[in-house]
Amino acid sequence: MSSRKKVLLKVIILGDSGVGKTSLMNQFVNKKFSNQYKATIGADFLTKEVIVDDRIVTMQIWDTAGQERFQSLGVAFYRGADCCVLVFDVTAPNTFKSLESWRDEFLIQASPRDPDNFPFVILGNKVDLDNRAVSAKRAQQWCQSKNDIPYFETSAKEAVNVELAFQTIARNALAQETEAELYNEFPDQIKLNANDNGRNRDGDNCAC
Amino acid sequence: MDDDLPTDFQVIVVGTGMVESIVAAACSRIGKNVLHLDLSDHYGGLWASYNFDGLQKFIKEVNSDPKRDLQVYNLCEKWYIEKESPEAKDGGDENKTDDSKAEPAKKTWSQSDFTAEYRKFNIDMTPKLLFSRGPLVELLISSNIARYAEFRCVTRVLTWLNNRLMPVPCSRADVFATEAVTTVEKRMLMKMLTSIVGYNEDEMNNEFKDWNDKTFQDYLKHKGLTPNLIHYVLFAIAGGNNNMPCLEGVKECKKFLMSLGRYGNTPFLWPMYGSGELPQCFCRLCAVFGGVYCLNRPIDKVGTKTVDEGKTVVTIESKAKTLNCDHLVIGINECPKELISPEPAESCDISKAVFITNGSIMASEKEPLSLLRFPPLADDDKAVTVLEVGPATGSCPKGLFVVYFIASKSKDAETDLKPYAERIFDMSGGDAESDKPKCLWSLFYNVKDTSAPVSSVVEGVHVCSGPDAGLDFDRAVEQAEQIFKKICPGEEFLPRAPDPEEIVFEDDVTHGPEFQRDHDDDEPKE
Repeated sequence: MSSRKKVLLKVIILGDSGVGKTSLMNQFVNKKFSNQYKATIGADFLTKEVIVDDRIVTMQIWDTAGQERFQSLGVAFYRGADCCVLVFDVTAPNTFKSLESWRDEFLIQASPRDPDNFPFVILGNKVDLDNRAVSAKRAQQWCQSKNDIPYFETSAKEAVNVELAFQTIARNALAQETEAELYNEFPDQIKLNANDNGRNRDGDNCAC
Repeated sequence: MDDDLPTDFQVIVVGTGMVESIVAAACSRIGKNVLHLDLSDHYGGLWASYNFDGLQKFIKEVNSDPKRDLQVYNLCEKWYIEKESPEAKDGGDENKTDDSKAEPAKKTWSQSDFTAEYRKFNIDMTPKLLFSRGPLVELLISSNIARYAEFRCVTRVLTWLNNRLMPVPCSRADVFATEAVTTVEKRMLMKMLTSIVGYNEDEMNNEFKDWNDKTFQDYLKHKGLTPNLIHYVLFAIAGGNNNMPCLEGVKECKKFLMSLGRYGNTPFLWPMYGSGELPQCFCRLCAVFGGVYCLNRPIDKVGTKTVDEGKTVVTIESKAKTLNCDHLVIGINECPKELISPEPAESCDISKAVFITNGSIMASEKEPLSLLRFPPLADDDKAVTVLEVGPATGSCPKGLFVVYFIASKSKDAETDLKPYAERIFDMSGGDAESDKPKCLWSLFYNVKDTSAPVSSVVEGVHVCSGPDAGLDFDRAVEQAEQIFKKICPGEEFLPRAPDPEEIVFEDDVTHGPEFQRDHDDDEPKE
């Protein structure tokens, strides 16, 4: 596998509604933050190029588009993920408790090749707020108990640790991707786009 | 959690089949406030794909719930392999270094291997192909929903001729390369295909004006085609039978020919992980534009009530909650009978079968993805469409193939389809060597054909048809657009959604998904 080949990593962000998934993506990619809470509208996926060990890597970060609100994410969302980011709100203990079920849900739906070593990253978001309710120690302990998942405390609002967290996400996703390429299970998939219209114009347009 | 569910929407969609999902996406895309529900815990309804475990649950559900029986019946599942491998030593364990040089001996599969690898199966209840230049491909591209999906090309079209499988030459290169057709035949074929491509419904040109009430077969004979060529064109390319009307055959052929050369050697695409992925792509677009999603949400009753100014709204009772909407879009299987008018015409149901085999029906250098069109074996039989998909499509573990059979029903699925399956599979269940792939598991079932359009007695209720027996999604796309036009007259059907980098997240947008081009980078931020 030549390292010059363009690498595209699919990263999905999961966690309860309102923990700041969209804000984290938006801070990382657009360096912007909006304080006004609204259920995710218009968030699809954002793309950003990062450099990992001298390799240019395109991260495609997929938002839940709000479909997590009533536990209605379909299996299609999970397909082909290279890394899964689980987010909770450090001021809302319930969102921390949900991590376990989000992780399980991911493993069931995405059915990664090697579930024990699949790269997860946990983000405890909103550390800028005063009413913190989940301690760093408690979060770290949980992460350790789950095969040492990397843990970051972030603030999408104040851009704390966001860059660092996503660097780690890219690095771990890339490690996963490189392994996956060895199997090269699904080459030649086709993405449809308008540019294909003119392809093969002088070839076999029709049999006449 | 469910208590958070808002109650007032402009459009509520019940059921996540193909038609419902396209309508949901289209309404949400132009700014309608949409709630999309499904009674079950997964997307797709009768259009869903299941992993092996999900499929077992589906089978159990159908067999135990008499109401399901109305849509899916005559379900018959069969194993042709042992429960456990005789020696467990190389059964079951997932071999991670498969790309070894030597062709490994064929694995002996057991039922427990299927169970162990159940997640690697994606088995479609409604397997369908896309024509490369057909309406669904064009819609996926123009709406930008294509970014949620990946496809593979069908690598070959096969037919059953002189008691064996034969590849059908599709492209110009194929036609010239094939030895099955003589040079004279090639010239005749090219000439005939040229006139078919020139066919235009609006201005009936001379070529076809006298063929209105004759069969396609007669036309092909008239053009001097030899029996082999007639077979290729009539059965494999037009997917017809002896009675296919001429103009229908011409239209089918033209569709086939026009879709050649866009993506691969055949005119067809197959969605990665199966057809059941496609409704979910439309649902995602709906969600991205603010649509609210709620699976596992049964509905108890549909009614209407009149509010101020004599305006009527549709009401849905669901889990002790009343949901209100201006328009209810509902799948025919979810729709209360009394709302449907008139009773849909009796139509011919569909016979279907799924087989899991240990090899392709016809050897090939690279993993094939095949469409086989079986001409009727007996005079009163229907033509059978066969789709064979392998591990590269995400349909099954390595070493296996999933093969779908679809035909119009005459007796029941097993009686209709088994004679065809026996021609191409070894269904003996034994260890004996055979040149045909072994059938390891099979499922026969009949599905009610609910694809005829129906209307509702209640204004504001729009009923979506179920899957048809056809090869493609064209009817679903067409119906979805019609329903959308009724709900949102004058609005554009699925205009292009912006790419993520064209979207600006604004601080003060409180309503609707209004997207803007990213022209202004220094807008005020807090």
